Amino acid sequence: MPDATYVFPAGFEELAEFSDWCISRDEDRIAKRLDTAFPETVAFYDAVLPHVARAMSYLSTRPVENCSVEDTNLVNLLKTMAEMANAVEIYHQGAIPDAGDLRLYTSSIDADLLGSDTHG
Amino acid sequence: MTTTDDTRLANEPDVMDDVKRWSRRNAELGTSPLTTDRFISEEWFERERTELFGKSWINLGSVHDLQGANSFFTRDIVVLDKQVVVTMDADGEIRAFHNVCSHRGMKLMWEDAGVCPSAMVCRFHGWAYGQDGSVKSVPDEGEFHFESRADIGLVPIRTEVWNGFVFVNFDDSGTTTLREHLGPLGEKFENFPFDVLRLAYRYDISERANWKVAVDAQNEIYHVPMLAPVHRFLAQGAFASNDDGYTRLHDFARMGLHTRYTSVSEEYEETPFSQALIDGNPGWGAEQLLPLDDPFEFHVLFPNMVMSFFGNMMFTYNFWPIDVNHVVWEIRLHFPEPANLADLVSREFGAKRFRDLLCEDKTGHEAIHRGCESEARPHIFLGDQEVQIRAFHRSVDDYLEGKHA
Repeated sequence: MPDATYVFPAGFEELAEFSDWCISRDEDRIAKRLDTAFPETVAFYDAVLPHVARAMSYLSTRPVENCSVEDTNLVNLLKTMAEMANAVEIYHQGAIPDAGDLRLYTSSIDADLLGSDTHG
Repeated sequence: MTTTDDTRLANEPDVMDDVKRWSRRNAELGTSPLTTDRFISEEWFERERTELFGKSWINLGSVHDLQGANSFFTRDIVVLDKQVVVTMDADGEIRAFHNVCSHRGMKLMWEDAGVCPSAMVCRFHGWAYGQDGSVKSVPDEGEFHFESRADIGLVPIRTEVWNGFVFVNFDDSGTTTLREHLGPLGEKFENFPFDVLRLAYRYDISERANWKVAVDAQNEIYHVPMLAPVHRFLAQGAFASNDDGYTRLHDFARMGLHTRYTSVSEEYEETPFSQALIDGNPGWGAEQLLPLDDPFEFHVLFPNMVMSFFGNMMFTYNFWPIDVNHVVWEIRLHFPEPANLADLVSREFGAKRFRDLLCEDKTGHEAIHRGCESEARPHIFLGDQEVQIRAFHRSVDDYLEGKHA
C-alpha cells in the first residue's frame, strides 16, 4: 500500500492504489523512473493504461485554472505515466541506454498546479 | 516504411528517388569532405570568439523570459566574457545592458530573472538603476566626484527584438541591423503567429563537445533510423523515408547565412499510451495552429540558434560555446496554451518523448567530438541528405572572412 492515500475524482477512486505515483515535480518523476525496479513500473503501467482514455476524456472537460486537489492528483498520475511510457513501450527498461543522464534533463520550468505534496 | 498517402510526396516522386539533388541545386557548396580542425583547433575557436560571436547578432532569449513591466532576465555569455541583463520597462520597451554596476564593477543582478518594480539595486553598496539603465540613486552621493548621473548609467548593448526574440550584438560599429542579419528567414517568418506559443520546458545540457559538433548532429535526420530506440521509433513515420528506409528532405534552402530544411511526416502507429491520450483528448493537436509548409521544419538561425517546428510544437536551441571542447545546449520547448487539464497531460507526453530523444543524442555529440580530437582522419564526409550541414559551415567560413549578410 502507498504511504498516503490520495483522493481522486469520482469514478477514478480505484487509482488511489497508485498514490505513490502521483508526483508533482519533474525531477521526482524522473527519479521514480530511474529508481523503481522495472517490473514494478511495468505493473503500474499495465494497471493504469486501461483508465487513460477515460481519464483524459474527463480532464478535457476541466479547466486549468483553480484545479481541485482530486483533479491535480489525476493529472500528476498521468504525468508520471507519461514519464514511464517510453521506458515501458520503447526502452523496456527505466534508463535510456547509451545516453546522457536523464536527471540532467530536468526542466527548469516546472509549473505545478497546486504547489507541493499534501494531496490527501 | 512508406505507407504514406501524402499527396505532396506523391506529386513529387523525385524527392524520394532523385539522388544527389541538393548538391546539384547548390553547386556552390561543393562536395568536398569537411576538415575536422574547425571542431578541435584552439586557434579556430579564438577566431570564432572574436570574429563571429563578437560581431554577430546573438539570440539571448525571448519575451517568455520576461514577466511583463519592470522585469528582467540575465545571461552570462562565457565565450565573450560578458554578463548581460535584459530589461523590460513600464512601457514594454526591451533593452540590454552589461550586467555590471557602474560604481566598482560588481555584478548587478544575480537572479536568472525577476521583477523590479522600483529599481535594480547593486548588492555591494546599493547603487540603484532604472529599467532604462539610468542611475536612480547613489547612497552618500555627495562624497562622489562624477559630474553628472547621466554619465554613469548602465552600459547599453545593441539590442533588437524580432517576433518576441531578443537579440544583442556586441559589435558597436553597427554595420549590420538585425533585419539584415536575419535576411530572407526574417522575412519568411515576419507575420508568423509566434504569440500562440508558450515556453513550457527548458533544459540546459552541458556537453564535452565543440558547439558546431552539437549543431551538426541536430541539423540532419539521416541518423534518425539508426541511432537509438526513440529515434528508430520516430523513423517509422515522423520523417518521410524512401523505400529503403532512408530519410529524405522534402525541401532545403539557404536563406542568407541561415538554413532551412523540411520533412513530410507519414502515418505511423501510436504506442498504446499515446493512442489512449489521443482517444481521450482528440482536441489536442487536431487543429494545425502554425502555418507550416511541412509538418517538420528546421532552421539554423546563424550562428548558434535553432528554430524548429514539429506540428504545433516549436523547439529552439541555443548552443553556447564555453570553450573549444565544451558547449551548453539550451533546449526550449514551446506549445500552444493548454485549454484544459487533458491538454496539460498531452503536452507533457509530447515533451517527454522529445526529451528522451534528445537525451539519446547527448552521448553521440560527445563521442563525435572525441573522434575528431583523436585526429584519426583529417576530414568528415557529408552526404547529400546532410547538405544543410555543409551550408552551415559555409556560412561560418564566410562570416569569418567578413561576409556578414
